[in-house]
Amino acid sequence: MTISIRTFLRSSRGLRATLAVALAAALAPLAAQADPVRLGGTGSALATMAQLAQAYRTLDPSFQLEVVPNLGSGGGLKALAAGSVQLAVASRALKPEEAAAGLRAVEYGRTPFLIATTKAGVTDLTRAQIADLYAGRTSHWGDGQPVRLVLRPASDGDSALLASLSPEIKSALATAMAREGMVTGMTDQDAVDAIERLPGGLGTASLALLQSERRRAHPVSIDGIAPTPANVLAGRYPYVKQLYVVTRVGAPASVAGFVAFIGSEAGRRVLADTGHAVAPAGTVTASAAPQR
Amino acid sequence: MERLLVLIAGFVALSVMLLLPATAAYSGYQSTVNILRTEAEINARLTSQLVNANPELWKVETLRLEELLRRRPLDRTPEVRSVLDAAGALVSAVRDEVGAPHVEAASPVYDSGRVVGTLRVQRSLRPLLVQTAWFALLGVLLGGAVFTALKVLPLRALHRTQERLVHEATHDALTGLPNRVLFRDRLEQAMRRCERTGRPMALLYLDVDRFKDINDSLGHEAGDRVLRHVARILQSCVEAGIQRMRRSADSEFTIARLGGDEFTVLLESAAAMQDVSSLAERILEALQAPVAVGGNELVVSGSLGIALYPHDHATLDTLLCQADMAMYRAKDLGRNTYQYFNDELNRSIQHRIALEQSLRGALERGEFRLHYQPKAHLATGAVTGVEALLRWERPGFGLVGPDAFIPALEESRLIVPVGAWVIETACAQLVAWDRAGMAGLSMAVNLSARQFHDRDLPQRIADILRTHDIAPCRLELELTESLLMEDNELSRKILLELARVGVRVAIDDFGTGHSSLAYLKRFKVDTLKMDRSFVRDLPHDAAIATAVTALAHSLSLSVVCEGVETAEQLAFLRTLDCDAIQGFFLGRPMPVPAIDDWLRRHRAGDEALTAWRRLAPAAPRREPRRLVATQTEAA
Repeated sequence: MTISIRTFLRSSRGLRATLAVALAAALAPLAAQADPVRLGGTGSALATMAQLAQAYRTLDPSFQLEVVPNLGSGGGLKALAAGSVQLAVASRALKPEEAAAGLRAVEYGRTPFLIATTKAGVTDLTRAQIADLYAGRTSHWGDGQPVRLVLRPASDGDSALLASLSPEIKSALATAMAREGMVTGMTDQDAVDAIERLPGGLGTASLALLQSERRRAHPVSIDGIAPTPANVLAGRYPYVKQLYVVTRVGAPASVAGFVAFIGSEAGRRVLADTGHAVAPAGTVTASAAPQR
Repeated sequence: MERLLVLIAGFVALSVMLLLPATAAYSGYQSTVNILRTEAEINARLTSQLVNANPELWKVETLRLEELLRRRPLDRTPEVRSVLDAAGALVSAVRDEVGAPHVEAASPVYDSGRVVGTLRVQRSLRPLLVQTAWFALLGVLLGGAVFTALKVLPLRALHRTQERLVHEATHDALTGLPNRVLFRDRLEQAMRRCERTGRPMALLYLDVDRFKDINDSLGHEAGDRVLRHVARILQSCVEAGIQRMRRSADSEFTIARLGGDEFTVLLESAAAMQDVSSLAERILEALQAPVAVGGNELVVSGSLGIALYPHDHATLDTLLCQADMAMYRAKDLGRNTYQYFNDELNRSIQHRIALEQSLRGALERGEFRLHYQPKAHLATGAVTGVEALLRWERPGFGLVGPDAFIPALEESRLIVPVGAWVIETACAQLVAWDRAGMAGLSMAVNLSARQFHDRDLPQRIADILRTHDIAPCRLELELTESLLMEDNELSRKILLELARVGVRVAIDDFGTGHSSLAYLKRFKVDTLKMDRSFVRDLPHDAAIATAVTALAHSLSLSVVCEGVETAEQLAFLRTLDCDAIQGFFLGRPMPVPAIDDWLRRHRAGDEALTAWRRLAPAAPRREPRRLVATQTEAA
């Protein structure tokens, strides 16, 4: 537990403050210690889950959550199917074979998928400008600083989401991926770390990650529309990541309790505070994935 | 062909010499370049990571850059690794001692996809050059070995094949001796040497006596065996002879088979005539050693002709021809001897060649004639028959006697058809006389050796007699003693066959040849014809004539005396009780119209022809001995 938390802290500086609280709670001898629930999956949701766990412990002080970093959606689901974790978070729906393996997914929220940068003054980009940046047609910011793109692996969901913005961006992304010497963030956290580290860095992220981990990089409006939960809920900002919490059939009560908490009013407040577009109470539904 | 082989061998060897070091150099260079490229690429990636970690200040992170550049795998090949910025200025480098010439590879260093520098790795080419030099040395050794193998081995095989082909083309397959082609070449060279040095040389030309008869009677296999035997004899005799000659002179020799049964021996630097003569004698003597052929032991002989050079001035062909002529002369002299070529021989040979050429076709041209000489019964004076004598009406020469052309006919084998013509013509004449009222005459015909030994003779005679419906006993064949003695057993068989046909046989010129009393008893003979030389000196020298007559009568043979020319001879012969006479005293040989007239006149009792009957009192009456015509005449 300790080692996992440390590793997690090293990899996610934004989570340090949040997890320091969780750690203190975990170490507090207020209640009887239960086996921690291990969780892994998409980086966009990890810090949110830590905050949810902290909130949940006010109801069930024995509940402890151990977050396994750097698995990604696919890795988290595989670990769940293998029994290495009891809970997974994913930014995509279950595949039929995953459902057939006894996994059950519940969409707990949606977060805006966005372009993030640390470049001061860059707050809004059109899709054409985004295409120029990725195609290398715009290689320097207005002050002469080089634009340092941070890519995601071609197989990652973020690459597909970015390509879906427009055909020009899709083409520009292919060009960027073909270029030698590009910086690639393997996980959501790695990508945001690189964006923040590189002067003039720019890449993709989710609002949930930026807000839950309190990152220095800021979101950029696309075609004048800011990536906010309100714009998502209003249908003005169409680029979203659907986030799922996934359990196995016959999950222990502690897991079920925690999942139920996510959908509760308290849980929804935490979600709303961490960049999620949360529908009014009672609208959380099961995913479209097959139940059996 | 040889040049092509050398070219191919040279090409392959050169390819090996060049390809081996070239391949080693190329593969070594490619390997080095690939290693350098990989190293440059890996180090450029690491450097790019360093750049991405600190894009604006990476150039001053010298310690990190050097540490990165020093990271090396196990291979410690000396290298120079350096990082240059986008403008080509050196940012950082680590250097080993690297001698010129160099080979290097470079890979770009990126800052978020932008090239911001180059990583360069450099190595020395010296180790590769040294390695290539070793391979070049190995290539030279291998190339030399390949050249040797490709040139020497096929060339050796080629030379062997060439030698075999040349040997086959220049040697006789049967005896292994040089053939005519090689011999002519050696002879030509020898003649040139002889002209240069003046040392004489001898050419011996050997022909196996009666080789055709051996071939015909015993088959070609036997003939081949005889030829091999002759070749061996020649080799051993010549080698032994040369050993003796070398004491005094440096002699070379060549023995060849020109074809058929003709062999030649070329003796260079023949020291002296007596050496050549003694060699010829040794050869002839050695040849007579019996050779086993098909279970029989055969004795062969040869005739040798010898031409000397430059004694006998000649070209190559004429020298061969001279030796050939000398060989024929040796044959004429009875075979199994040797003869040197000389001018007289040359003339006689030329004469004989011309004679033989004229004889060819003489039969077809109808140039032969038969003259008939009468024979008469001594006691009664009755003409008992005639002897047919061959004459040749040679264009430009007139009528030629038998002594001038019979030997040539015999040698050229024309005697067989001409002899057949004689018997045929004589028999036809006999029938003509029968029809002309001169019936009952007998006809004597001379047979030559070749005719006598012709296997078909008895049958041919029987056919002729049957065709003309002539009683066989009216035909008498005259043979010489020497002819009968040539092959005793064969002669006996032939005589028996002739006796079976029914013809009579007379020994011609009795007393001049190998007169053997034994064969008179053994052979089936009817008549002895006493040679004219015994009649010529009668009555003064009568010993032999008396003895011959007594001998014949004691063997129940009739005696005919040839060459009776005088009344004295006739009178004396009557006292000896000879059976019949033949000679100019009675009548010369005459052509057909003349003999017809003579016979008619004799039959009519012409005084000029029959007066001799009264020259002497008749001898005491005796029963005529198997002289068929006598009875007819008497009747």
